Amino acid sequence: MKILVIQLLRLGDIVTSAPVAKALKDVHPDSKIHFLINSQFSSVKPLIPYVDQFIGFNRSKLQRKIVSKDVSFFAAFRGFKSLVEHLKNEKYDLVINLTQNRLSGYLVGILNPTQSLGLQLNGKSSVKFGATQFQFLNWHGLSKDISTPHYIDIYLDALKTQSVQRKIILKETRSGFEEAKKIVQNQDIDLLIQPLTSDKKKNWGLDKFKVFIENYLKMNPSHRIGILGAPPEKKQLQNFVGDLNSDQIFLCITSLEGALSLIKKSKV
Amino acid sequence: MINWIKSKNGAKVPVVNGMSLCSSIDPNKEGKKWVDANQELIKDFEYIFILGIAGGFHVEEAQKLNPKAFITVIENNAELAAAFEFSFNHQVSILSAPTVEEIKNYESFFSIFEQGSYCVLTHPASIAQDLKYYRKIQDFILGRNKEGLTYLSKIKARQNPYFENFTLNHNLGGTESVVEIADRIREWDAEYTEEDLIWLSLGELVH
Repeated sequence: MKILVIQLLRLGDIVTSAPVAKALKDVHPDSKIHFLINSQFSSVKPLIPYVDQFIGFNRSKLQRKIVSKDVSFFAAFRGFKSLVEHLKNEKYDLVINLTQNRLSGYLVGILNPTQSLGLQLNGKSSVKFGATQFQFLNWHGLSKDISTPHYIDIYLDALKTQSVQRKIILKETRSGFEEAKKIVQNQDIDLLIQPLTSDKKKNWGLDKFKVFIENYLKMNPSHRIGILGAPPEKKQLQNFVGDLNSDQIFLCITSLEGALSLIKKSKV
Repeated sequence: MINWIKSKNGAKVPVVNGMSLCSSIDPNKEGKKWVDANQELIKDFEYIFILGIAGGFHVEEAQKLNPKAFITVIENNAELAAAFEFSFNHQVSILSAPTVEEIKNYESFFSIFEQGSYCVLTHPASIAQDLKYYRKIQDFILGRNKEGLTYLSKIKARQNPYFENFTLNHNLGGTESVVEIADRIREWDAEYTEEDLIWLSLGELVH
């Protein structure tokens, strides 16, 4: 059995989808599981177990082809069609769309698989969800008043695999382990904080983190705190750590693989 | 009439109508800069049209960056085009002042236009020599004017009947047209074809 999971959201959403791969392998041990993800998050690939192949959706390249005045009017069309042809050639038995948006819905509509779960749009009045749980997600998206179970629970419930492990298990890599080792140099990390996110509106604010860390160190003066960030955030976090001016605080600029190993090493 | 002068770094540079088409100091460096500015497109596409040969330095650099690319240079000055006839390998062809009608008849372009994935890059000093001509050629090849899009749709319709009825009553060029196509399709009350769904998906990427 060949299964395509479409997850065209951001890094955290891809990580949240990891238990789906495990659940599918539990239910269909001989299956081949492919994940379609945004190419910009391809660094997550080594961390997600049970996925046989990742396929990149190069959103920014397609967007450039659409807006560039130097590119053929049909270039983006051709680019998208190439992806469609590739996916069709894989002949998936089941397509699971974990992305609750029109783009992914249209893509499932184009693939038109014999079996699908999640949003599928074939026409103006042709919308399929494959399972009521995905229909619920659609309603939930329209109303902020409805409290909802965790996405993992919804996904796994839709797959009818309630008994499987819901915990997100990620694969630690050798290179990540070595990166983390180099950063911590055999010392403990009591607390690891990632104060910045790629989506600025989700940031709590460095000033608030500063107050929190200063108070934390007053209560736990011997604790070592790692400040985690990605390479593009280095300068900003260097200034942040400099402002905190404490030997107990150290900067952890690392890849995603290194970040996972640091999280595993940290007590909190 | 072309005059050739020697640049400070010793390279030959063409002067047309009293205007040097390349840097008279270091045209090779200038060619590299042009490629740097267009590198994403040069790397991305197998088929590249370049408008204007000038001193050929930018074409040479483009080939270095993507040796697999098939490059077609369109040069409006026949004398200049002739000067470069044997300067490049078989991956580069130079067309001397073709009209739109002539471009329509180049059989070698049919497959390129049919698959639709190519770019058109311009050499600024060259196109400044005859902006009207080069813009017309550029818009036609890219399908950014009515004549171009009608022609390209016809070529595509040979393989895919969907494009026979590809409607053209929208503004052309850039983001808006894709959005407009997507919006128009969205108004239909029918099952979408695969091509409709692709346009709708592209519309989502820029909406």
